[in-house]
Amino acid sequence: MPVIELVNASKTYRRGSELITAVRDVHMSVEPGEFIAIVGPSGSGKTTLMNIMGCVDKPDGGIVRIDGVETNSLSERELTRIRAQKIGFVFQQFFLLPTLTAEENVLLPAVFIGNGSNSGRKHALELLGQVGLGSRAKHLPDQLSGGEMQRVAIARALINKPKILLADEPTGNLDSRNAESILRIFRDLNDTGITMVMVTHSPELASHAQRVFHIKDGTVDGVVETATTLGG
Amino acid sequence: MTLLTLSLKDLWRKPARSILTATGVALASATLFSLLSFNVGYKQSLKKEMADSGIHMLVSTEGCPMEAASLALHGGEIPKFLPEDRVPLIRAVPGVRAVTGMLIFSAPGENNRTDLFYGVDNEMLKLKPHWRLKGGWFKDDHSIVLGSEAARVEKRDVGDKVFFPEINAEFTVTGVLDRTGSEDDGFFFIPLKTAQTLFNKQGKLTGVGVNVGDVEQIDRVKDGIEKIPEVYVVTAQQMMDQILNLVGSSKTLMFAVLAIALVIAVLGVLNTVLMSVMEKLREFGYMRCVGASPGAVFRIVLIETLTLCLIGGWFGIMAGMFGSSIADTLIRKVLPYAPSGRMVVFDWSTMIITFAVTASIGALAGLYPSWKAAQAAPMQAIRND
Repeated sequence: MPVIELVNASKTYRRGSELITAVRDVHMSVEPGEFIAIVGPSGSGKTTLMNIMGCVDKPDGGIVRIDGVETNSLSERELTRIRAQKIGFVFQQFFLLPTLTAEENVLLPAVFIGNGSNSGRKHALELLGQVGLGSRAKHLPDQLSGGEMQRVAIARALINKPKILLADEPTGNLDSRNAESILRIFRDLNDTGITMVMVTHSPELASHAQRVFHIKDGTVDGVVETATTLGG
Repeated sequence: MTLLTLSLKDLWRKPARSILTATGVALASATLFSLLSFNVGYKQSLKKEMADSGIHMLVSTEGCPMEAASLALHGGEIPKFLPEDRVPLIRAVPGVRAVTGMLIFSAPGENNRTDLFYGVDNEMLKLKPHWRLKGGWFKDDHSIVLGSEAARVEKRDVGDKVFFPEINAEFTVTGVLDRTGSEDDGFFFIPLKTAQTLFNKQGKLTGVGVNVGDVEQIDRVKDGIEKIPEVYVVTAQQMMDQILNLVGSSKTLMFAVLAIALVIAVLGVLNTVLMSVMEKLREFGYMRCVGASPGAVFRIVLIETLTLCLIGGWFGIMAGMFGSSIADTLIRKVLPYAPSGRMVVFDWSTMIITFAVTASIGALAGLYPSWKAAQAAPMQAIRND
């Protein structure tokens, strides 16, 4: 069963008096444990597509299923629960809270599902260790480099043990060396069975994924299996 | 970690802003606490002063309760005199336990001081059963009893002589009052006859203090005394009511100013917290993305606002407590009548009310920003193309 499935999904926004179709009749499925990239220029609709996959927005047409659950008719509360339990988010801006330590930032999503106590803390420290920041647990974000902050953000995205990791331009604010280390982490996570969906405008970054969906004018313009998939 | 920890830590994101906001609340809270304490203390002090005076009624030729109170309690002068022959008539009224004729005069003393002389007779002791005297009462016409403060200022003790150049009279100190905490501490008590001679008011009195045996019968006794010609009776309760009415206008003004201060505090907190929320909208959007419900985001902001206000409230109460003597001095300057005891008195209920009001400021000011934060959509966290 696909972990993400879109069947003729469409989304339209109103901008002033104008109606803009951001996503049109998108049909795609992602199998568990896959590493896919969604590539397209600015305005192509890849962010809207990510919103729909992440249950951050509902489509106006078509069907969306996350881990077999149809999300179209779910309430905001139910969508929040799905996001908390099944999906991890990594953003370009990191979104680390400046007054919380690395450990506390990682723990944040667990607090929202009532798991902010000792067992949650223990898991947070384990995750920081996994991303190579076990010794920086008590550091504040302004004491960390850009690459370290993004690694904290990745650990945070994993705290509630999600099945899917959605990454929106995760290396956008990083230099090439740090970008490479982040991608390495993504590949390692994918090897453990987590489904990776990375949105980027860089074909070079996208080549690290197993499948690349090219988006243009709100539709899937093509799907390419990369050398990674083909064992290259 | 909990939502509470999250809120508390977020207060330190912009420490200067948090401190300034809390200071605004502290100022409003200090004002509220001081005014409430004054409200409690003034009435208590006034009631005690009235009770300590031993005078349930004052008979004089002046019917204004304010003037009567000023006369009875602070030794104010009234340029009208009561004939001394009224005293036995007053004493004969059923229900009267003790009466004392008083002749009160002031004279300029040393160092721009005004010396208040109370000419009284032996009946005065019946009106002041709480007085403790070192030494004793008058022995002759040249005896003087000093209030505790008067004795300290004059540096005199029992047995010493004291000369007043302003009235060209010398007395022997027969007694010094233990501190009463009332205006009596500052008076010079001399025999009534001596005072009448010195100030050339033979057979005249400023007023007659009356103590009744049963306070429940005050009105009946008053009616009896008022049958005597050319006298005016003012009860202690009337004095107190009149003073409280007069002070009531000042209090209304002070509470109006307080209301404005509280509104400003609410608006100040609202503005600061709303500004903070608008700066963090994408962050709240992120929290919604990762599983925070709108209710959780609402609670984070509201807890932060309440904490800020309660911290401000606490410091305001501390400032009110430690600055009470300054508040006392300032209030004394604007009041038409101020009892001699402390007017700003602390009470647990006052503290609880102040906390409740500052919490209400927090709740009210925090409602809109919290709602605004809770409306942050998860999409706001995501990069806009």
